[in-house]
Amino acid sequence: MLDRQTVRTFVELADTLVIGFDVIDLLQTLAERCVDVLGVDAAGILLADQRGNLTLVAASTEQARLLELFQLQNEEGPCLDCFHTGRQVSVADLSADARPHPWPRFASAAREQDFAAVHAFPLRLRDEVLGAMNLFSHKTGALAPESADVAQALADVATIGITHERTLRHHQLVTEQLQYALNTRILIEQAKGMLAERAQIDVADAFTRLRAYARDNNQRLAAVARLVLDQDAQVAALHHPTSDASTTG
Amino acid sequence: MNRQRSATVWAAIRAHVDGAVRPLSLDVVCAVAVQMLDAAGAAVALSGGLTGYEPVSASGPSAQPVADLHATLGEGPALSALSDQRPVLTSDLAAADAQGRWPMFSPAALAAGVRAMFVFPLQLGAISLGVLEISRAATGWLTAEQAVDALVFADAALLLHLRNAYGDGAEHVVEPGRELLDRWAAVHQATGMIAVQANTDLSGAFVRLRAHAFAHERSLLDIAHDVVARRLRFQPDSR
Repeated sequence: MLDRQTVRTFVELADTLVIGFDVIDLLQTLAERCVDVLGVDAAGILLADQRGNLTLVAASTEQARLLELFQLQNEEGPCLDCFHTGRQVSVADLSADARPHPWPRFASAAREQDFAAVHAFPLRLRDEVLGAMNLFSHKTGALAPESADVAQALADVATIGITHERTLRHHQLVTEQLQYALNTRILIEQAKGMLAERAQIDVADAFTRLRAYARDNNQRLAAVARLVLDQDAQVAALHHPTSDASTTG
Repeated sequence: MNRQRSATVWAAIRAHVDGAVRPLSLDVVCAVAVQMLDAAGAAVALSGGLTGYEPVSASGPSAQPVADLHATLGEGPALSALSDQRPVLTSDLAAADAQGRWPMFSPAALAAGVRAMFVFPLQLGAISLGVLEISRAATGWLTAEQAVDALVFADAALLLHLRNAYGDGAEHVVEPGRELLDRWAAVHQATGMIAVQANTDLSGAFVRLRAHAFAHERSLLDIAHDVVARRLRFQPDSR
């Protein structure tokens, strides 16, 4: 049976889809909720940029982010295989003496970050794969079957969130949504850099501040990022070397 | 994956360049886009200036009329792409949704012989410079391959314009293409940091990052990591 937290997550996501939302906020929320609901330790979502690359658009922690980036840099790993095949890929034990798998460098990088298992789920739209969702665990072991079902359902929500409304007219319009999502992510990275430099904090802390401010003020992450980029007085408090915002979220 | 499309598009652009007679320029990008995308027109318009829409390059018979319509009517797919910051793809300007969205532009474009329009923003996060407009005389979508090519043409136009506006004119500011940097969060974080350090805008910061990588024969990502780790700082430009 679904537990209350899972139910709450789907209600929250459904609300988001109904009231209108920014796709980046949806994906960020999804990555964070995956950790709460599925009993994993980190989650990341990658989208294809249509030029031939997978790009990280949301991660529950900077640790997952580092690993995702490693995975892309070396062009190997379960998330990439999941994207290419459109199928779930699960590695219950990343340790060196476990059953051999085709990603030795990925596995050693994951172990360095203290991850022992990884599971990847496709973001699939009919015959097209838009990206993949990665779940990381500190403990070895497969996901329970119902957790895997919930994970795929969450990945499907992400797909719907990315493609909503326009897909019905033509699948090529996914391009509009995907490019928007990817560009928004770049904008947020630029804002993280600006904030990190102004406040003299690191970029991970800068993201925590942005996210906390967006949440506390019920604003979209992209909107807050833009305020930072525009040096809007509204977000002046974010720039203080020690901001209260950094302790929440 | 489509990584080879980027190489194909850049090869076509380079093949069209002819030394000093026809140097790498937005005109070349538009001319090659017309050929490769089966288009009646390709135009680049910049978002700066007084009107926020300034056509700077056009190739093919329908490019200039379409740009003029945008400038005159103040609506159309190109202006929607600029304000929405995403591609705007329209397979049939005679269809009800296009007519409803651009009630003045759509009939005027049809009268000018344009039936489908595909507009791609020249953007890199908050760096938003303009649009690439592809117009066609027949209805129908771009093929998947053409859509990728169009994205690469838009990238080429973005990098080329950055070079013209901020750079020192050297080729390195344009190539390699954007596909090599899109996915690297550190590049964009470093761009934001450099903008603060050097007291410049994001475009200027990005160009300085690339120029530094080129001058020191190191990868953009390496330099970006140094900036993010605060091993490397940029100073305000003395120019």
